Amino acid sequence: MASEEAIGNIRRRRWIVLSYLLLGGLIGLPIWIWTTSIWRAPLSYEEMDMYDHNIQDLINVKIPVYLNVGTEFPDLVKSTQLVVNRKLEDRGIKQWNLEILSGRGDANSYNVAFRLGEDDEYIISEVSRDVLITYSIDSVSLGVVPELVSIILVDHLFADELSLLEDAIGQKKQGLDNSDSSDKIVSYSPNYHLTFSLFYGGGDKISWDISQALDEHFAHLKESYARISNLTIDTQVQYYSDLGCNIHHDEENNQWLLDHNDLSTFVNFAEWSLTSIHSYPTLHFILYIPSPKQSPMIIVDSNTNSFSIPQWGGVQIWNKPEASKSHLTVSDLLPILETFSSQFLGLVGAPVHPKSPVIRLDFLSRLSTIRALISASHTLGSLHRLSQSLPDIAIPQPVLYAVKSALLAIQGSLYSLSTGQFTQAIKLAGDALRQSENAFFEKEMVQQAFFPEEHKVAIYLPLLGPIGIVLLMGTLRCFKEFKTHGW
Amino acid sequence: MFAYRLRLATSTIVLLLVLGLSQSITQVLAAPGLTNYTEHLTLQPLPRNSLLTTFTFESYSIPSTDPHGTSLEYAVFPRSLGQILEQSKTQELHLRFSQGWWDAENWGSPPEQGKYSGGLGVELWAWVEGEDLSAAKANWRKLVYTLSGLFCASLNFIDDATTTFPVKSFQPFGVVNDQDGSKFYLMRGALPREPVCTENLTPFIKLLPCKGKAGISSLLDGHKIFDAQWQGMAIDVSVECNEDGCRKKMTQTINAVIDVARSIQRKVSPVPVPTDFDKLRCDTTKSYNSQYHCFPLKESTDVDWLLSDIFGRQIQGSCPLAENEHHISIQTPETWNTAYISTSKSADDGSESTFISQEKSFKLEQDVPTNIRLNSHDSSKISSSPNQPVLVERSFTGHGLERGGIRSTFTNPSRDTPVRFVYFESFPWFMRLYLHTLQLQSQSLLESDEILSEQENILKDIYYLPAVDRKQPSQLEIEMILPPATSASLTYDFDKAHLFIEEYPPDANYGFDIAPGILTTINESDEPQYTIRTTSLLLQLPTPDFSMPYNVIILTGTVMALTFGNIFNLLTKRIVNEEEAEEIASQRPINQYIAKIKSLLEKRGSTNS
Repeated sequence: MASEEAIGNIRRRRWIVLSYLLLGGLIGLPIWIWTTSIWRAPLSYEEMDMYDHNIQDLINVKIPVYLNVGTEFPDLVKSTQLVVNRKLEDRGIKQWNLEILSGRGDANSYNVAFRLGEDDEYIISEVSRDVLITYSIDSVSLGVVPELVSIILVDHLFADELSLLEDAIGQKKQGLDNSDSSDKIVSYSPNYHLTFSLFYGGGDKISWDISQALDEHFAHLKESYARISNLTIDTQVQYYSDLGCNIHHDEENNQWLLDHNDLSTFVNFAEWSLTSIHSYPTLHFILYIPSPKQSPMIIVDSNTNSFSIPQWGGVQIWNKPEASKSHLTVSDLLPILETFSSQFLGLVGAPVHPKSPVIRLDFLSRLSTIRALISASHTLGSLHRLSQSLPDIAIPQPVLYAVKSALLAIQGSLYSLSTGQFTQAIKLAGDALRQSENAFFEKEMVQQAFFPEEHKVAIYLPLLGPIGIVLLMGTLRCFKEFKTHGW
Repeated sequence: MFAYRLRLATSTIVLLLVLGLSQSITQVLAAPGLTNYTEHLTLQPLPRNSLLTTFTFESYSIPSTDPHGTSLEYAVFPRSLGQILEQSKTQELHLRFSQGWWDAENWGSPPEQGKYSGGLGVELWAWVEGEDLSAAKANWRKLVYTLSGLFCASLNFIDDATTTFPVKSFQPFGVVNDQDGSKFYLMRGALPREPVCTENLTPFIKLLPCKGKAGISSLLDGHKIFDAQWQGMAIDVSVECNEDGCRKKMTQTINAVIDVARSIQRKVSPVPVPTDFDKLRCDTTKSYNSQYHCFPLKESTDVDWLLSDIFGRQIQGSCPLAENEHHISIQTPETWNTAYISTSKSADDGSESTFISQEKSFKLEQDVPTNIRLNSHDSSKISSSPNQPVLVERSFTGHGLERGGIRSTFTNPSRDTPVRFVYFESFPWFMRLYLHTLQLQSQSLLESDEILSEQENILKDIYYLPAVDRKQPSQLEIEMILPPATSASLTYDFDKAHLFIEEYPPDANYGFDIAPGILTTINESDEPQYTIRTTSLLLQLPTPDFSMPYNVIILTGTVMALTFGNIFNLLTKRIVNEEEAEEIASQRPINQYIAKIKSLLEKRGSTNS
């Protein structure tokens, strides 16, 4: 048996091993982690998730409606409110309500006037937000006036807004199986660029008075739409534009036919000049004039000879009345621009009824707000899922700011919706959408997305491997000695 | 032989009449208003059976009252480019895509005195608006990024470190007036390494109103154009103003010098095959001429070819939008015969009509496929093109990877006229130029021994902007007056800087292309006359082994681990003498096992024996 080692030496050895371990554990390891870690901004994930999951329920639209009644119906306001509430509850709509007030609001709010007449009737103004209800004496005696008012409001005046609202909210709840109407709608943006293009199949000269026609027939829509989104416009003429699809010649009527199946490949994306470098979405409106060889060109089963492409734009096919016509005047363009206008309203998801444009724009403004809010919340939710699924992705400071301001904007917009400040609401919703997209598409985040773990291992192994083994053996030995010798 | 038949002289006359008539009609129609679009093709044979083809397309935007000529209504002026100019606030744009080398000594001055020619690779210069330099730079960045998308070129690699601000060499083609509150900045970037190919031609053709489907642009085929000895595409946008307003003018140019013999050979057989023995052109006067030995003769000067032999297709009639009178002109001396061949589709027999003409300009007809035949018995006789007023060559001097030098030689071949010019060069920041080493040596071409050293008589002005590492290239503009029959060499030295490892391009051992120098001759009233470009240079930088950082990390890690292990073991292990160590070792379980096995084996051995 070898001579015993002095207990002092053993203790000293323990101290040495311990100090190495402590040095490594307390200073080395933190420094290593600190210098190699990827900085991830502390995003408020709970709040993001909360909005992602519950945005549909958090929306609470309150639209003030003024009933211009005097003392003849003392309880009308209260009872109408009750009936409206009940009707909405029956339909399962919690996000949207009317606030029935008495008196007369300003021109920006809905005013309902009453008149005694022979029959129960109503008239919705074609230019303003005024509604006139004619009630008969029978209704008064039966006490159904509140019923009457609420039917007119919910089932007629706001009918389109409600059904589109159900679409917008329901679609997100059901996931992919949504109705085709909401599929068509381009996502909300505070700015849109519109390009009006004349694509001509032939090569001879053709021109159009488009700027004059736009001034006369489109400027009005552009102006009134400005409170929802700003529109910028340009126009172009392109020659020798071949179609992306085949057309069939109908020998009998000497015309060229386009089937519905062909329409999806009608636009020749490869050859037609349709690029846009705007930072916001571009909607294209194409006037296609076939070459004389392919005239007249008809879309089967279409009265207007036009179609719209979901989330992208609209196409109108126009055949020259005579081959020599080479200039489209404002009056030629008027029906075409009407088609484009209605295609535009369809693309942004505007309701069809009632006739009054201000009311329709009101509806659209609120619906766009809601769509933007839903989309912004889902973007934030996706950002969370992305950062969860890629633990190595960096989350830089700008993302934090963008998420914070997006959350603030969502909050503000929700509040504005519930207090009837709809202009403010759509502005904030646009901000929220922009900021959430900025956060999601942050450049730096994408750049540093992939730095594989194996590389790190390969680089550290020659250093950490030998050091680790030596330390481990030393520690094991100390334990052994501890077993045999104790303290 | 060619498979068309010559009609009677009468039909030729009728055709000529028809041509003349239709020309006068178009003239009447096009008379009022402004020209919107013209296109023109020039064919000019060059020495040694080369052919210079110049396609020029000019399109104008719709006039507007805006001083930038910006109109949101686009017709023949393409919207895709107009939108980029509008968004990046660019007043004037010049873009060049070039490949090959212009042989000035044989071919004379480049087409249009080099106005639309570019240096090797891609070159871009533009007048960009901005309140101050940083705003203009932001617009410039937007411009290069969007253009790189439009033309499928790596223009986005033009950054601050490659952008120069030329002072004298470039003059605007159109109106560039400073507005109140904002200024125009001339910025230029060049990418000499960029290969120019079909993917750049396709967007170029898409900008044309007739899109290569009719008119002279129907000849443009990437495979043929890029097979040329020298070719260049140019896009120039400038603003023209008159009392009614301003409009943008876009000039699109394609120049190509095509080797006719090679093109025809390609048509016969796309893959090179050896010439049959009976078709070899041998010098039979040589004594050794036999079945196995052939001394080749010069190329035949008897030429006869069709336009479709060279471009692989015919012209598909005229582009109806082109408003100019003649679409094609041919620059040949009298000894060349030209024939205009049009295939009339309306005629039932689809016959071809040909007329041989001494006319050198042709008008195309709509929907009538057209071909042109050129033949001559002496192709060495060609119309002379003006000589270049100054010849320039540039090369590297020195050796090694540490430092180098540049030597540019300018020659004025004229016997009587001096030439005044500005020479522009820009070098990347990793070439650290020493301006104090700049030297000029001149030599008379007539008495070759005499070396003149009157530097101040030749060198008039130097504008120099030094480089800033990774932020700014160095920029040198030298104004010189070169006396007649004189050759001058300009030399200067530079150091080669080291780059960070991520700054090396892929295939760094290939070297770094240095953009061509640009020489602009100017007349007395400071107007630019000729633009001449040198070739690009290939700079070798010290290139590291790219796996080095990884090796360094691993080696350092290993050394550190070894050191640590030794020190740690010294500190913690017990030092004993040899006997003690053996005893302790023998008590280890593994050694005890070994001892057991050994003793077992020994036992067996003893019992067996």
